Amino acid sequence: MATMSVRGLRKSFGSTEILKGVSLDVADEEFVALVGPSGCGKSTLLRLIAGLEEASSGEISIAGRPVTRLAPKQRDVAMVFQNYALYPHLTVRANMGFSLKLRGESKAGIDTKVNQAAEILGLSPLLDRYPGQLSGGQRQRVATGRAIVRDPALFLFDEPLSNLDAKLRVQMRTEIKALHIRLRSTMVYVTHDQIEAMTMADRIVVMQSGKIEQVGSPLDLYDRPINAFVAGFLGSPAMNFLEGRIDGGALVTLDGTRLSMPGHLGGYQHGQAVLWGIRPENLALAAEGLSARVEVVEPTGPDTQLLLRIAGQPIIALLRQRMKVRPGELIHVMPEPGMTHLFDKESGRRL
Amino acid sequence: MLSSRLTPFLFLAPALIGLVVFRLAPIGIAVAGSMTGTSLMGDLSFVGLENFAYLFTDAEFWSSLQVTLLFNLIINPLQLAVAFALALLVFQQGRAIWFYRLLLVLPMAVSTGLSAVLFGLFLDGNLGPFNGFLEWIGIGAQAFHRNQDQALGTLIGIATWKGAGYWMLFLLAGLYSIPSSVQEAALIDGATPWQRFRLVTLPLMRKPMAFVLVADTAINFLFFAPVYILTSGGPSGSTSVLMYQAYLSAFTFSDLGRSLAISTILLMIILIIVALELRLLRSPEDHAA
Amino acid sequence: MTETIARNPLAVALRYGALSILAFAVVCPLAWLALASLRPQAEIFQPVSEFGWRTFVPSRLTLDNYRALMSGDFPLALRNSSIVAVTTVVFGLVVNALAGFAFAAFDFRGKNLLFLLVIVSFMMPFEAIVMPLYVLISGLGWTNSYKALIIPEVANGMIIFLFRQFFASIPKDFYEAARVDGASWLYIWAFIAMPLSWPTIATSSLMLFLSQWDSFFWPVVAASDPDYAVVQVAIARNINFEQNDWGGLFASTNLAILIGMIPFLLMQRFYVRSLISGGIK
Ligand SMILES: Nc1ncnc2c1ncn2[C@@H]1O[C@H](COP(=O)(O)OP(=O)(O)O)[C@@H](O)[C@H]1O
Ligand SMILES: [Mg+2]
Repeated sequence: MATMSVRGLRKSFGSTEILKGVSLDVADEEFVALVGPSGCGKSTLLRLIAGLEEASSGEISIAGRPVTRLAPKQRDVAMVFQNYALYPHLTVRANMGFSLKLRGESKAGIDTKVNQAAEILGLSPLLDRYPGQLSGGQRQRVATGRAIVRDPALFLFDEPLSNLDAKLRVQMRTEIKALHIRLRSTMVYVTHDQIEAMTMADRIVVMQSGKIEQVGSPLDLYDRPINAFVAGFLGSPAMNFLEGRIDGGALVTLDGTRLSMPGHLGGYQHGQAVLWGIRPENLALAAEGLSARVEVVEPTGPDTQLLLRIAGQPIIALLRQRMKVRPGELIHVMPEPGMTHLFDKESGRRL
Repeated sequence: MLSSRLTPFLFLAPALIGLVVFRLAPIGIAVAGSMTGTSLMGDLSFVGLENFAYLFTDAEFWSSLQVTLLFNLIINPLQLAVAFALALLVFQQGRAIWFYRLLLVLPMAVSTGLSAVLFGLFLDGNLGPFNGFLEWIGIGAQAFHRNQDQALGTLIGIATWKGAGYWMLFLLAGLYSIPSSVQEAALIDGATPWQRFRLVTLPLMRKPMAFVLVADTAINFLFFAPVYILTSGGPSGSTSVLMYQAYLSAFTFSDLGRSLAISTILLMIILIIVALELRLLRSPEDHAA
Repeated sequence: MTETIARNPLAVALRYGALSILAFAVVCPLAWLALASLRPQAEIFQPVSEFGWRTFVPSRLTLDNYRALMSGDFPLALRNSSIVAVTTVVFGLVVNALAGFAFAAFDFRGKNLLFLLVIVSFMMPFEAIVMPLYVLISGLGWTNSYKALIIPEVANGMIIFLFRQFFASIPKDFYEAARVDGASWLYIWAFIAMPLSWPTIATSSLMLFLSQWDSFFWPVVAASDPDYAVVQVAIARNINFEQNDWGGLFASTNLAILIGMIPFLLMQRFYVRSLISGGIK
């Protein structure tokens, strides 16, 4: 297992720059998740690390060894593809042993390693099947198995669970996480599913438009997002934003409503245009506070999700209780102290 | 659906009548006709398998069968190999590759008959440039289709000139249907270009290659126009393929029974090939993901 | 991955070198003929010993050979081929599109079996049945007539297949909505389905046209009379004559090739896609 580091990595396809200078260090045995909206360059970054694409500029090193100009086979990485990319003409056994065979390992050596990996992944009964005879979840496991048989310096995953149904996805995400702990391996895991990232990763890298926005532990990012984009990207339902200006201890929203927020807005510049953010679960019912019109009530069993309108803007509140409110009613909610976020309207940066 | 039972058949009738009368019925006519003989007076009579019995004692038939088999044994693997090589060459994107592709498929727009005429002129000692070229580089002029030893090879060359680009298209489609991520997985697994070709590309191309081989064989068993136009089966019967024999029997020797007997044999071969082809298309991608 | 390989300069050079040689081999005879057809009569013969760039490039370009064509048997052959090809396209489109529509829009008894007949009919090359078909046609007394050249070629399994594929890709709701509004099936076919299918109509027209323009074996057998000789047959006859109008043969061959090639070039995208869909689905 090994460290991985990327320095000032840029990649252009033709005249469009897709990666605009990415730097990242991944520690030994770390699980790093790359998240970001579709098209932001996650796969491209992963493919550059794997050697499937050549960097326009910048440096990549794996285990301290510069690999920027090396072919994939010389980088000692394994990759699990979104569509699994199993060899359709080979059995599960041959799929998993393919790289070892190319490396010229002995038949017995290959068998031992394949059987061992199959054991871990519960694939032993399927070893003589062809990929076409497997379910999606099984194919996913074979793809993972093919990677772990290699015992590579670095594992790369490109949205490996996105083709599975929701239930299987949850199960496989636990399995991959368990595998990470068991193998004590270094993994870079691309996903556009922020829940996957939150639950699996030691650290999360949030990307947007070819740049890294923030790197940090899941809860760091959740609690102290560096900008409005990260704040809005992590968390489901997403953070609520109210746009407005600061006026003393109050926020004046676009439609002129004055929301007084004692204790939240002290010390900021008067008149500054801001985005005020609050996560849905950080709103609580109160006798007084922000007055909100209830628009939709969605009971989910333990919780109740309310779609509210505050100062003319839609706000979601997630309340850990059952409620007897009806659409149209007027209620009051109060932000939990210390749980609000304030971002500069112009730059999106945290204030 | 909301339709009377008859409607579909009214829509189908013209085409189906055409196919039944002009494609299906001739198969029956061939079989029936191969069992008739024509007397000198021109009346037909049922002769059973006599035409076949006669064929099998006929040296000319055996020699023609031999020529046909030799022709097919060479041309089909050759066209497959050339077409596959072309497909590999134009598969990856690159500067002006579209233009090369276009040039390579141009001959498919030239009919087999015109290809024969074109090469008849091109290879002619007085009219065409090729023998001059051979003289110039020191090989010396050749007789090509007018030489017993070269005629079959010349026809194979002409047919390959015309056919390779056409079959290339099917193999190219096959190459494109291999997911690029599978090739990339092999790259990451450490395969060299040659290993990727032998262990990934080649096995995954089995189906399109089999299709090309089978469909090409069906066509080449019926090879006719260049023989008719350039060699008339000669020199010394060296290019007298079965289809040409069938034609000669009917139109030069007025022996319709023999002609239809040969046609029947060819038809049986073709129907077996078509059955193979159908199986190929039907079989679900055996192991595909 | 494609890039890593493509960037190896030696591999790139080898690839383009091989392609250039192959493309030259393919194009050379065609280019030579095109230029040769523009030679003056006096330069037609090319003594083997005088090989050089003059072998390919005429001293001056002239249309004399093409002008001379107008007076021979070629105009009649052109006329015959055109009549046969155009008629086949017109009837072939209607007949095969109707059948393709039936396979796509209706469920009926024996559908799979009939569709199998369609598929077998285009997998079995036409040449396989030329001799017995000749027996049939001469039994009908049709030899040496346009009928013999046209009628057997109208129903075409490949075209039925292409239309079926296209019509099957239109959601059935489309047809059913019109049914509910009271349209007859023939109306739906003619005014809803056909207008949507112009790419299929275009490729099918080209295929039907080429099937006739290129056909040789059947016309040789079924219409050998010079009055009904089509272009291919007329040209093939001329190459075997000891004659003095070689320039005319060059010109007519080149013209016949171009008439087949130009629509192919214009529509090759569509055409190639359809061909492959018929082969591999
Ligand atoms: N080979 C390529 N050629 C041109 N553009 C590409 C290529 N690969 C990716 N892109 C572009 O790069 C951008 C980022 O793609 P990708 O890394 O796949 O995004 P993500 O995985 O984050 O969804 C996209 O806009 C995509 O269209
Ligand atoms: Mg991606």
